[in-house]
Amino acid sequence: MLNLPILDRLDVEGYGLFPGTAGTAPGLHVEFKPGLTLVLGANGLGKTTMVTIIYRLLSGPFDIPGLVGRTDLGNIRLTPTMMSAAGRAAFAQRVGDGARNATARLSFRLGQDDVVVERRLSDLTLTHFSINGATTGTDELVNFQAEILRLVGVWSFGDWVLLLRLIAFYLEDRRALVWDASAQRQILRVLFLPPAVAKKWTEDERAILELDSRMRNLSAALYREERALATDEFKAEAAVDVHQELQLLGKLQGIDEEQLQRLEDEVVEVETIRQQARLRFLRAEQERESRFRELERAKLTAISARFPDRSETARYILAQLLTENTCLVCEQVAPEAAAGYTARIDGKRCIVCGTDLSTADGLVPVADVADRRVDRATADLKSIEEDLDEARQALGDADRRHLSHFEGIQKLNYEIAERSRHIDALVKRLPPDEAAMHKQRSELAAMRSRVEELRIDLTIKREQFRSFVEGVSRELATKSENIMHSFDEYAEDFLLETCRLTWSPQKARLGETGGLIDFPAFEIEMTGSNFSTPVRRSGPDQVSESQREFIDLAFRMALISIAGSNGKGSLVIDAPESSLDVVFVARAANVLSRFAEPTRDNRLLITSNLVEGQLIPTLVAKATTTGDRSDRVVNLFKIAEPTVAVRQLRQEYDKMWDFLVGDVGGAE
Amino acid sequence: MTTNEQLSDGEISTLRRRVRLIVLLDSAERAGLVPLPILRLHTLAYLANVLAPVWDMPALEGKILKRHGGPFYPALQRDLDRLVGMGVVLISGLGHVRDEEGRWRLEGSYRLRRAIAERVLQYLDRLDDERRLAAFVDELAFALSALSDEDLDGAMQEDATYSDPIVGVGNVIDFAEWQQKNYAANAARHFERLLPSGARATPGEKLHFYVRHLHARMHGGRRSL
Repeated sequence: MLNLPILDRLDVEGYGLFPGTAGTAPGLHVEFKPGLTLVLGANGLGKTTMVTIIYRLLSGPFDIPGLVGRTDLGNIRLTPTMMSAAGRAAFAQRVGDGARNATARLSFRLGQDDVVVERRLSDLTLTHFSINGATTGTDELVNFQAEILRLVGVWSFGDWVLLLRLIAFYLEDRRALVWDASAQRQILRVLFLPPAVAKKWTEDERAILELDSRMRNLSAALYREERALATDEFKAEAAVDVHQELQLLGKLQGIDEEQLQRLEDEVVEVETIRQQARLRFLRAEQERESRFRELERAKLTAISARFPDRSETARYILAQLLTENTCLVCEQVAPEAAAGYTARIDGKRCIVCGTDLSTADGLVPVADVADRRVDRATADLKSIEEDLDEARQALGDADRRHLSHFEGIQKLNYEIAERSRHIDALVKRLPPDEAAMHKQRSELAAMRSRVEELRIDLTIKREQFRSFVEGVSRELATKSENIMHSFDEYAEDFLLETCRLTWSPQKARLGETGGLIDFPAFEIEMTGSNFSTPVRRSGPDQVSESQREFIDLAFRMALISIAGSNGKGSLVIDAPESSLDVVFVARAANVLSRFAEPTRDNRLLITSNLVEGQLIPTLVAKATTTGDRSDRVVNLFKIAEPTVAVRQLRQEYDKMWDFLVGDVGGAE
Repeated sequence: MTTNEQLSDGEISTLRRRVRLIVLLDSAERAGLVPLPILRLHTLAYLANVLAPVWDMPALEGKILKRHGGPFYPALQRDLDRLVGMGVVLISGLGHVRDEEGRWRLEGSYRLRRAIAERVLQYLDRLDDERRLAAFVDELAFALSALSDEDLDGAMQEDATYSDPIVGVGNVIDFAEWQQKNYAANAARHFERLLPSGARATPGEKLHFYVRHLHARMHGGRRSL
């Protein structure tokens, strides 16, 4: 269990953006009670600045290069580096006085420990750091970072930054964790593995990436040298036919190596498509079986309403005949017989002897109901059979593409190796006065064998790492049920579709060469207008923007509740309303309110503009009470330096405030 | 199905599955497991696949979709339907029930109609490969017959391959299709190491060891049968 930060209090003083309210202590002062704190303002009043101040108080002036954006996290170095001077002065640049006397202080808890951190806003320098009331030094590395690691329970400050970025802070430049397999595997590593194991993962991963990079660099250098030498050899005076052949072979080698690289780059995609196609087919097959049985049952009911005796086998065989048009006895397709029996059912006659039963007491209503059920089940079966056919076709296509892809790689590897041997043999036939080139050739041969050694070393290390990850994934998988259950709790009722989280390890390549490794991951499955059964949504573009944001939030909430000590943590969300479809607003408020139930002891900080719609009123109604509303709603219109728009349109903003929030005052 | 000419790939697969069903039901009967309820039959079919390497045989089906309710092969079920229609297999207790996920499935118990199945079985007995298969399935059924009905139904919770947490419900367990990752067969083989030095376990003994291991795990310890 990790000690995720629980925010308690923020004080910002001497900062021009937050002068405060006349008559109260100057500056911005917010106490985070268990549950929701809602920060309301307008553009330019400093909502994002406030959230960023909290983030920087926790991270200090350190970032992981490449963490923001869409770079695959599997390939970046997760070591934080000091921000540039300009980056550290970001808060200073927002105010006229350079934030000369501005400080920000955050009180928060990590597990049982109370922590207070204060920084200068002009350059993020640490000015105060205390744990349980005892002041420690203010050295960023020796005091702050070292103590944070100890208190949180992670092995590196990089992992702390990952926790902040990928779990606690939901900012505009966030990653969609639930759809970002590379970010997910890193955060699962941080959240659920003991620090020593998490460290081994990172270090082994890094060692492989570095080796992979060295091997590729050397390989590229070798390739360039070989090309250069081939050109030199051609220019040299020697037997024309040998040179011509060398030139031709060199060109062919270049073309094939490019083609091989392209195919290697596509391996992950081809493999993933094949896996998905198989999964889709197997699921459609199961679904078809279920619907077939549903129809069979419906037909049995319809038959039994008309059957003169209770012969189970006969009924079963007839139901099969009617369901599949195939006779179970002779296995022949028998549509006429099926049509005949169906006509008897439709005509409300006995299925065996054809006796008119329409007047028999009590039979017809039962039969009618059963018949309607049959019609519905027939349509359901038809639809899944179409899905199944498509899935079968897609699996066949994916399988063929996979086969041809790997045959292509094998063929190219073989041809390149053969051609390489041929080139070496031809070079040996060059005249002796080209000894220098011979020497160069032999040096290149040594280089080639070095590349081969690196390749072998890399293969061994990759296999060791693959095995390590497999063991670790198995451990993580034991927690997956709890995470999925928690996700269901948070996401419940948010979507009209069935939406569930599934444990589904993802194949990825570490570096740019080598085999695929199954990394731990979750995926989202949803039903939709075009899908009758839940289907994997493996990318954020496969769901609407409204769905995307809140599915991701529910995922983060689930991770916090399972990984955080006592199941609690803080979530800071900057402007969630921006992407919300109007009809989803109330549902989104439900998701947020669940996390903000005070009994959970989480901290949920949300910033928002005063926007029309139900998000703010619903949140206020669900997550605050009349008694604590004024403490939970932070009114930046009163605290922040007003913008021109706020000055000129004050009355309209006030009207909107009253409309959305009511007369609650707000923290000042 | 064509009776002359060459069989298509699909027809061969169908035939293999039907033969497998007949052999499974035959062995189940000898082991006193019939009438065999539908899910137990699919469990037996799964174990015959996953433990086939112990007998040095290939799995008939190297993958399966992981379900909450245990193994279920839709294609095998369709063939079972056909065998009922042909009169080779008898069904009793027919019904339809919803599973844990709200899906409909057939309920019923199966046994061979000896008068018809015997002809097929006698012919199979003349073929070396099929005789080996029958010996393997016999041994497996005998091993499983030592479990109570309740334990048999819960066995998949402890099977090393099926219960491997790394594959979530709703995902594909691939033990012998695109990869060879068969923890159940590995576990069965592993028990040989527990024998006195130099002693070798027969494949049959390994199956019995594995089933005893399942039983012990279901009862939370190392208690043997």
